Amino acid sequence: MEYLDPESFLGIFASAAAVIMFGAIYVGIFTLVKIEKIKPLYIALAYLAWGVQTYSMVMLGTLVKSDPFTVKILVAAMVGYLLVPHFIYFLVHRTHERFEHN
Amino acid sequence: MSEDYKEPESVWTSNRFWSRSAGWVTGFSAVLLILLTMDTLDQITIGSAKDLENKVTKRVPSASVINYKVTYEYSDVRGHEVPVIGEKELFFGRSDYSEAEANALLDKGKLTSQAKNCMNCHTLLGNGAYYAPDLTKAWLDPAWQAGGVMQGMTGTTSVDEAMSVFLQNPDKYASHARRMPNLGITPEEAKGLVAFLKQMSSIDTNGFPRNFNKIQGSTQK
Amino acid sequence: MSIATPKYLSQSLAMKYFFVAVVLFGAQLVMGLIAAYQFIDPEFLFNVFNFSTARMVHINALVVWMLYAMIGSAYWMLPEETGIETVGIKLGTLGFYVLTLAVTVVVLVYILVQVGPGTEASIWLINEGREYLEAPRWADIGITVVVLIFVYNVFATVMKGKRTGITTVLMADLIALAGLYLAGMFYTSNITMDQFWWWWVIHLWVEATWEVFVGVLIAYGLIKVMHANRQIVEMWLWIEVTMLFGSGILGMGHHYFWIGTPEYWWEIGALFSALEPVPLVGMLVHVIYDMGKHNGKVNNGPAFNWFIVNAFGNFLGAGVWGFMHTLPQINIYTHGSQFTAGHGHLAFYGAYATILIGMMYVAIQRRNGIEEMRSTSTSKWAVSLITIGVLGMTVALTLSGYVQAFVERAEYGATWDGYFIAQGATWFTQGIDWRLAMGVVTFIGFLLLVKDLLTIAKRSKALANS
Repeated sequence: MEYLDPESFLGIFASAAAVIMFGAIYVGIFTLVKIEKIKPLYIALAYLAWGVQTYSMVMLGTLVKSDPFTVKILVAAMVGYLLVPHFIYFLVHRTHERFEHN
Repeated sequence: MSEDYKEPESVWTSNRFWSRSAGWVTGFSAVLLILLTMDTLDQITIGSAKDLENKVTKRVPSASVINYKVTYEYSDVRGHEVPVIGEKELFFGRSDYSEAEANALLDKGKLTSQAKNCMNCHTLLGNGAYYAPDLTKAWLDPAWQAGGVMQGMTGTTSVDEAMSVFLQNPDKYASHARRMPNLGITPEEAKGLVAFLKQMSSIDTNGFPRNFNKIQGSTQK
Repeated sequence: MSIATPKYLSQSLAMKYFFVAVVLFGAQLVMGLIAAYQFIDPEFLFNVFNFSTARMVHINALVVWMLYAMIGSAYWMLPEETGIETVGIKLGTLGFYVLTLAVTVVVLVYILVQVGPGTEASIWLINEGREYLEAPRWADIGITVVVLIFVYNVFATVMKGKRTGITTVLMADLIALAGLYLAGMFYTSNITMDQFWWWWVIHLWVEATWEVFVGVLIAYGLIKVMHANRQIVEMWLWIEVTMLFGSGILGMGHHYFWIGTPEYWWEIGALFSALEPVPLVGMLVHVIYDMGKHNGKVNNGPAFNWFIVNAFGNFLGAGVWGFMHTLPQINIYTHGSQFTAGHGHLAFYGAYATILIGMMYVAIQRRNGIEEMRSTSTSKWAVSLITIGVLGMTVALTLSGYVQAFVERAEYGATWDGYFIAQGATWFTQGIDWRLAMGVVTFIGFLLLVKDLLTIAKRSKALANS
């Protein structure tokens, strides 16, 4: 395990927080667009948030001095995260369609 | 059940599918945790006096480690500091504690650390409260070594004596405004606690706390 | 459909549990204030009522009030879910009195005796000295017996009455929750072994079984407060259980980085910690979906507000503050610093305190047969002040923790010198000052909460009659 530069601590905490925060923003906007509470155009913002999230993740990976291979895995994980809300929304929607008829 | 109930159209909306998934995922995780636990328990079981004599490295060395000198050194292979058990060293004037004697001391110390509630001010292995310094490597801390503030204040010439004197009257030897209270620690309990602290310093904590040895050599001029 | 329910004895018992929970919540805050003040003036009550004692009661009261509120919630839901009075309720009520007596004795011994000699007897009679699990061994056994009575109540009732998805999950979770407590009930002189099993209790409670318990409460709350469809809610409960246990059980790894356990826990801990926010994402999508569909039709304003704070608090406390320092590369600098304390405050509050207080409001409403219970200004002030207070404490402690990571760990290599230099750094002490100030804000919020819990039923009834 590499020694970290104390100067990078702030960046580490900030990027880690950003990963989760922008993750929430992505999910939030995505869901609101899907249930038609806001205009479909906003979906661009959702994916932008995901982009910022992915960037934060790469930054976090770099700042904690992960090896390049691990950083690649992190990016792959972010592609997974891109799909998670789609899947969850699909589940929520299907269950509501099945059990509610109003 | 309402009349508009329909047979499941797909697994995704099937209660049965998800309750089974929950069971399988939980079961699988639990089994994995148990397997890992079995391996870990094997690795963290306390070593024996024989291991120390034969220089067999254990993650948690035997209480007999009190008979030896403990240092914390950088390992190129591991990429962080690891405890190194060296030559024999006097502990309260002796270096020939039998395994039973050493175990009794460690036991006394660990019991005392619980009875005196150490963990609600200090951290041990980083767990506990944050009102007082971490005790993981206290035995190796520069403050307690020759030339450190604690030996000077307690008028002692070794780490074990300094710790023992301090622990029996901590409020009298305050190095900072935040003092340690008097917990009525007896000489026997103090000796046990010092053994406990020395043994804890020999545990392989994967390099925690970070930088410990590096700074001792570099900035502690 | 009227909201009034028959007067079940099980629900009377629930109210008793809630009452003691609130008293202990108050005790937790008072002890927290004393400990926070001792950080600023270390001579305060020195050698009389030391920090260690205040802190011990602070965290024990936390765990016990939450367990009380959880048990209370279960006794509350049980008759409504099963449609019958709880089986063996007399025994359950007896258990409550025994448990409360035991808790009182334990706390009195903590406060009056404080510490004992280094013998087995101290661990059996005074305190076990293991953070969060300080309860002496005799009390451990007593707690286990009472919890077994509780588990019997739940199982016997579900077997006899109607069985729902909610009660099925509840039963499975209770068995795990109670069984895990046993992992913390033995003594060993091997500190690594000690900490290894200690985490079995602590982690598998707060990051697995308690989370699922909260899932059960949310499911019940959604049905009762937002009239959500039971089939959907129960299916989602199973999905949540899958995600929570799937990430949470092996998330244990992030506690095994530095306690003497092997290095493979680094990878396991990092991987599963990264998965731990996934259930939170699930909840978020679901909550937004439901709120969008229901357009905010709720019959219990204060409970609903607490549920909302729960959703966001859980996300911030467990999600953001957890992920900030969960990777081993950074955790080696933050482990055992005020950073952990910051995370702990927001996570316990966001994930647990909020939902349990929400449940108390649900119980008060239904106990009094109030069709629609609106927030009073006191309810709003209470939830706002407590939330601002806890968030403030968290930010303040994070600041202090940051100074520790930077000065004590990185610069001075975690030596005693480094520790005290960091404790004296201006930014650190400011964080500690703000923590006390925000603690006071939290306490004022708590007083308002108590007032509201005691008076809201009467006010709502008066409003309905006028």
